[in-house]
Amino acid sequence: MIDRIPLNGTFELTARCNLECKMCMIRIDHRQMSELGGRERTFKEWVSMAHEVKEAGTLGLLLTGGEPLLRPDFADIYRAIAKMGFILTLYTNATMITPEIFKVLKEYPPHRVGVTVYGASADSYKKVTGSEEAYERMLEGVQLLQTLPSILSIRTTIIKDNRKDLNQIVQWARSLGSNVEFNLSRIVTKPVRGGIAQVEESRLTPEENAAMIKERNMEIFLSPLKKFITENKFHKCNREEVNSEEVNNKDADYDTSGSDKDKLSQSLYGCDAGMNSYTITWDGRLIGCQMLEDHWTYPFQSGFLQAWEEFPLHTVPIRLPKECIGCEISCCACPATRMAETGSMSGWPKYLCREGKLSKLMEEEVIAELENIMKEGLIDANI
Amino acid sequence: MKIKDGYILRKVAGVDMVVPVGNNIADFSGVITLNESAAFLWEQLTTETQAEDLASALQQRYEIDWDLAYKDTNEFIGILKEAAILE
Repeated sequence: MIDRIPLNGTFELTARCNLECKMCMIRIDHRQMSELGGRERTFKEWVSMAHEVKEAGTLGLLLTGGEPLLRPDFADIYRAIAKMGFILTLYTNATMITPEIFKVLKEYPPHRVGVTVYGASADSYKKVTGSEEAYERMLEGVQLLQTLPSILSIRTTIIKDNRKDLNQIVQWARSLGSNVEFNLSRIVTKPVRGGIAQVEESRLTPEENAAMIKERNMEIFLSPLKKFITENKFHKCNREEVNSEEVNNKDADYDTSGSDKDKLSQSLYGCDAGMNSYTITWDGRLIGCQMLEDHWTYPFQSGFLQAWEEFPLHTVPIRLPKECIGCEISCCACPATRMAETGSMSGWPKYLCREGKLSKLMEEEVIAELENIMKEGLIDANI
Repeated sequence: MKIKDGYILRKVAGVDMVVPVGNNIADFSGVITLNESAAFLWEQLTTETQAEDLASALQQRYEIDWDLAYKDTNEFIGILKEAAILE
């Protein structure tokens, strides 16, 4: 196995949240916490852990939840960690930015702050998060965060209740400035690690989700392209004959002997999880990523380095479900999403499979439309 | 002269790296990677010092001649000044 370096870490300071989003993967309440038998780690424990992960080589650190700002000691934890020299990212719903918290964010701005936005009106917020007031508080919070030198990233997750808001959210995010990023969650999976949201009832159907992704692609790529081509007609030109010998020679320079296979065998889950990244959960367990808890170690008991080194020893080989073997469609299935959807890393995630196949069809439609636009844009050079 | 507050020198995966924290991220986003001798100079610059003292420390550390040490030191200082990292 290649070297594992814990470059990127996630500290999940709490799994609780002030909002009750219908599609949340993570959120638990006090009752669920006691049923799960864990406890949130203290200020001292998180700060001490931050020192340990810094020594171990962590550069990128994400502070997240649940809603991390819900913790009464958030400002203290944040101040202590922000001084240490991480590339720091904070995820928040921006509804709980008290003067005390803003003061520390102003003093030590995170390098990046991701704000989750759940709708374009108080009504949508009420439906999605259970809180009408949260909408205004989010707007106020974003206004404050915009004054920081941090990169601001607006992140949204679309379900049935806020589907009609998507375009408005996009427009609003754009209105914040060209330096503000916008991210739409590609898919909504079932909750993980005891999360209590009723996702299945609220998420889009695979058909609706694929259509939404197509709509976004149309907006991002095709509409601007169509406008450009309409305004700038191109002359047809003769394509240069491709020299097949040259291509063959180029191919010969590549060593393609099983490179993808090697990548898989040199990782634990086929990605960075557990190799270059990790999550420490609210109750103090080290897991591969925030969505995946097939196994874990205990960094607060053994020390981070030992927990990190022991982590792969518990990994079991992952078998693809038979439905996925040989399938070349690029869907959202990975060990973590399979686990979330089916309870097993080797389970067949029917919802993701259907959505992936539909997205592939949508992608083909988008390409066909693109080709049509290009044809329309061409004029004969002889005319 | 010295390095302004809010630049943290760290070792990540065996590489010396400087990470800006606090409001320095407004002036400098990203990280600075340093080679061994630059990291040595950086450490000297965390307290008030002069170019001649730095060059002398570099000369002693790497057993190089004065002219080279002085030239390299001034080159490094120039880069830091340009990035507004010194005060």
